[in-house]
Amino acid sequence: MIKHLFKMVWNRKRANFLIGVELFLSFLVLCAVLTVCTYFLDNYRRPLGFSYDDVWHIEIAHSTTRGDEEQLKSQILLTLSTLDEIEAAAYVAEVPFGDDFDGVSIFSDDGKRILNRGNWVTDGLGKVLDLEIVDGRWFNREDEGLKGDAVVINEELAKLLFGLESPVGKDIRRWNAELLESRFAGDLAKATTYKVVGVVADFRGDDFAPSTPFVFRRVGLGDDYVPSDLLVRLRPGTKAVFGEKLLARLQSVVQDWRFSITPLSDHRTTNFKLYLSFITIGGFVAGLLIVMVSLGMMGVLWQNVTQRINEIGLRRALGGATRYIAAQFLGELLVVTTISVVFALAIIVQFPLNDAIEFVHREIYLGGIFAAILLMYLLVTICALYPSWLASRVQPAEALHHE
Amino acid sequence: MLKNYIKIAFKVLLRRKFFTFISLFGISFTMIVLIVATSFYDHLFGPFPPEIKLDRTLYVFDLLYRYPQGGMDSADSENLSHYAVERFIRPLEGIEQVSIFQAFAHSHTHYNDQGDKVDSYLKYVDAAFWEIMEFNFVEGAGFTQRDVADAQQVTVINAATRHRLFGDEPAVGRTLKVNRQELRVIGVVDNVSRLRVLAQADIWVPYSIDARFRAQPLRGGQQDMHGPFSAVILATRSSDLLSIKADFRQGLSTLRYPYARPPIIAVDGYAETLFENMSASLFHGLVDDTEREGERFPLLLSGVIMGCALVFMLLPAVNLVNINLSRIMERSSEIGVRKAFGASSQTLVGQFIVENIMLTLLGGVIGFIGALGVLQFVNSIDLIPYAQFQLNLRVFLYGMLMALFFGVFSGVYPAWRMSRLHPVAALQRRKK
Repeated sequence: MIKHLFKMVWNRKRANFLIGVELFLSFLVLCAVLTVCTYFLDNYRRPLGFSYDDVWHIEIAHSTTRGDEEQLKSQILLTLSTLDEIEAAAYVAEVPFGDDFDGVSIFSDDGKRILNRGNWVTDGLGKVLDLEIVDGRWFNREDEGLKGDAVVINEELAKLLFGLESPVGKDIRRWNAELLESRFAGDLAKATTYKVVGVVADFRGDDFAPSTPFVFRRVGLGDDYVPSDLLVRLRPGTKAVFGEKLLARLQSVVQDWRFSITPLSDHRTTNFKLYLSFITIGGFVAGLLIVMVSLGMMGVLWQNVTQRINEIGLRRALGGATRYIAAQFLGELLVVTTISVVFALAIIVQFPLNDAIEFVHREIYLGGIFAAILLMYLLVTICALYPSWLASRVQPAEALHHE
Repeated sequence: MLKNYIKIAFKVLLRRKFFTFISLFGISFTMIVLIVATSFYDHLFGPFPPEIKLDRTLYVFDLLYRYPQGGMDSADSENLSHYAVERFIRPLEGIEQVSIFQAFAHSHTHYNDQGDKVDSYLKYVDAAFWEIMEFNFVEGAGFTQRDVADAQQVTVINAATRHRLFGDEPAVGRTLKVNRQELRVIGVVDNVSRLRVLAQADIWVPYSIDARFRAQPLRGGQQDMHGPFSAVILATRSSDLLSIKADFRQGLSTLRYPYARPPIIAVDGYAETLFENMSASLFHGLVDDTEREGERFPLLLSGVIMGCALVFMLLPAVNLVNINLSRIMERSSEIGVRKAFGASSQTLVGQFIVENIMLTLLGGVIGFIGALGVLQFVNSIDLIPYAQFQLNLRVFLYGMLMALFFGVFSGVYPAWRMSRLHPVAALQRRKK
């Protein structure tokens, strides 16, 4: 039966080739959409690793010509600590829900850059974002002697670098040979490794960000570089009007700097809306593409049935049961579908094999592809139902009389 | 002849309505997506207020300071100082006007008299900014050379800010507080889309009211070149753009700072059109951009956009080809008769392509109506603040071009197949 179906498909190879191309392209679209969807859904259900309620982001706009920025920044931190409404405050280079977190690189012993994301932060951040320490400790004053080389990593990176051993107290390579030759070489003289002081459960930048290796790098207030974004944790129940008082206090420390205050939850809403509109637009367009293909497929099959009416009539006249005829039309389409899917899969597996999409976990990718295969066969079957039924309705006498 | 083709095309369309519906659904949907995308493109790069004179405008966003090593980390970019603008931009030949401004407006929080939090984007500009950019003033006007020179505490706000602060009443003459300075409103302009990054803000103020933006005393060396500004150049004629670009780079090429640490072996800068500037900032960091040779990024961006449109058209085109192919038999008697009476294959190919183009143009028109609805919806949900996506003549022309291309793209193969039908075989197949 199957061999016979292949023969039927082969006999009409020119028409089937184009149908195959269409199915091939549709399958690629389905795979892309479903993989992206499972990827985002999977990320979304993972814990963020921090809490954003009652956290405000204060962005500082200042010039770099005064020369006393770092000193003023620590003065600001000191002022904030005198306010009752503020529980903790810290400077961060990159703020959750929007920034990229690509500021820190680390390397394996053979000099390969390990995919990782990181952030430069001051001591208060552990308390501000309520990070969960699973091993070691968060940064404190004792790290001052390490001159900005203390790091806290997440469990994923710990597992990647040290397996089951505790990473606390161990060193991580921060340069490779290539970087040593670059213009940063002067800074390198200081140290070539980071020292791990603690491990947090996880840290993801936003709701849809993947769970990847992550590094917090400590910035001391006396260092050459202190970031310009502040995160503060407010005492629960603090009213929004506190912002006015806060702004006045900040302005009183430095008159000619400008500050903008945004609750972290607002950043989250904006970020969420952005992702959601991308997913909606993409999903909508892909969905309509698939509807279009399904309708087209149905039309093509319908025409096929009218064209092949003699053949059907003959089969019926020789005693072919209606269900066999319906099955033949469906079967032929499924054969073409299978061939297209196999070709598409041959291309699709190249991506993970060549590490082109490292950030997508293999299970997610496979899950997306599996769902796409199921959906593909389901759609094709639905498209073939009506034309196949039409074919099975053909009256043998009428059909043979056709020509 | 063409009239006959079109007549026949309509007759065929009306013959089997389900198939016509399938074809038109696919085409219209494809065109809606493409037209909406075109409108978005036009919104980003087209001449809209205040950037109307784009054909004569060049932006100098920043300067590149190159170090001896190659690769990604071998250059730093810094914005410009007064000194850099005066020395390298203002003396250029063929320039009508130069404006210095802060390229990215920064966000700023303040609390109004009722204690409500007001977030706005603030941008520091000079007086020429209001002449090069053609804002639609709702009331008042921009600030003058005089205002900037005297560091007058004045400001121009957009309509949204007026609405928030003064509730749509006339705002000129009233004051608002920014950074402890009482600024007098002297003009109100229409909102500018947040996507027009270089022009947009909520509050525009003269740079001179802030000490940081005033000209600094020269100290000698590279520091003198660094400042907070970008520049926009208005050329006298659009034909001068190329020579201005070249002269600007030529001027900078003499500069080097071998004693800086790390040593700077070359200073480079680009005067770019809006499209060039946006493409360079889009690919910044994605591609090794230390060799930002003039045409490379715009070409890359155009290529990416066209590639995306083509890839997107592929599936709908194959779909349409399949439907058209399966409908050949409908036409067999017609083809047979025409061939029997001496019509050549080329004539038939021409006829079927014209038919297919008719179909895609019809789909294009439906696509426009659909796109209008989609854009109205997008505008109404305020997806991007102050962005009003619209359909205009440019978008219409692009859309029709795409429909034409789509028609040819998807029509050639079926037309060729149809024209190859053997007349005898074609005539034999009678309709049932």
